[in-house]
Amino acid sequence: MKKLLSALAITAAALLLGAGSFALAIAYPRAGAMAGSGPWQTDLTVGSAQTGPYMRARIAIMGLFALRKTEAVYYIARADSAGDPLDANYDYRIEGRDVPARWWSITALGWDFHLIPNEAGLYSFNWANVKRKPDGSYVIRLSPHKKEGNWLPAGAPDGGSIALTLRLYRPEPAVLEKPGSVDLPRIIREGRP
Amino acid sequence: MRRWMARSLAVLAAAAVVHAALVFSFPWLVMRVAHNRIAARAGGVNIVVHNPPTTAEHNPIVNSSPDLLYSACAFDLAGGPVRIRARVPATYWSVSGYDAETNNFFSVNNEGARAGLLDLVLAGPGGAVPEAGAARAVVSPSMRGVVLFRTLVPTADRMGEMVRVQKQAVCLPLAEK
Repeated sequence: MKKLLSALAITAAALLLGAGSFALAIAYPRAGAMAGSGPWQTDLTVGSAQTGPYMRARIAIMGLFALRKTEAVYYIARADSAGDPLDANYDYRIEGRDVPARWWSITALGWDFHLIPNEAGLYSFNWANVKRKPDGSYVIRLSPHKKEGNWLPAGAPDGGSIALTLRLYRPEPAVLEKPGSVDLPRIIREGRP
Repeated sequence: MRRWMARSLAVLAAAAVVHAALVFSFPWLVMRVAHNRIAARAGGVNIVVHNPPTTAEHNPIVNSSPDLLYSACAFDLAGGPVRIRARVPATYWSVSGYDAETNNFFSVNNEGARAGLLDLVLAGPGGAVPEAGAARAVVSPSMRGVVLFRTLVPTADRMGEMVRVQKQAVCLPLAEK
């Protein structure tokens, strides 16, 4: 009986430790595993057979059916340009210009990487529907409360952590050569709404 | 003391095995579930299912783009090659193939399609690629996988037009032509 209990305890501890370490490795990729430009992080091996086993598992959970880099490059931001985690309790200004690709879009996501429910049915802006200034630049307002212009709902206050995905479809060679040197939108926290 | 050390080492060794098994099997498992769900919704393998516009309530793929209309076909090449046909718009559009481990093994976009039409034959690994007229041929690394069509809706007022384009994508066994 004692041996059986001991074996069960070892099995339970191994399952817990193995599954827990797997979840942590997926949620927090090792430093240097991704290329960054400001708060935006990407991995150019995404979608390809050359990607590592951890990134492949990560994609299966957080971005199934990702395309290879020649077709699309995906940047994820979970923090603002000052390095603070994106939080549904704050207002943010996303300031940018067209990025070097045939088409781009910015999508707001909840902590679980699903779209954020909102009555307005607004989830993203892209090069065709974003309202621009005369010089071609734009400002997107990420906020839980309705804003003038390009309002991207961030869910209910206290909705917790949020994320942004920036998709570059048919990226130009400069993106593939130096993904960390691309001029990507700045994410500026404006304070509690 | 020795007994505790042996138990701790046993836990660590077994945990490493669990960890590695999850890392390597997870993509395969997720893809299997996705394949089965798509086939169930379409009414079988090698049949396209057209998803409605992506919203928070209808969000078939994690981290999917709300600017795109998605259609999918769970392919099974055990019975022979599959033909993929679609109308291709001038705006961004692509069709891409994913093997049993989630790898994207091919993609063709609106710039690579000829004359606004896509005609492609998807064959299984190891087999000869059959003659299929003007259609281009692609060999899949696995017998089962998913073909995904992406149709951009640039602005909301073009939704109806792009849904009509989306719904012209088809997968069917090559023998049916």
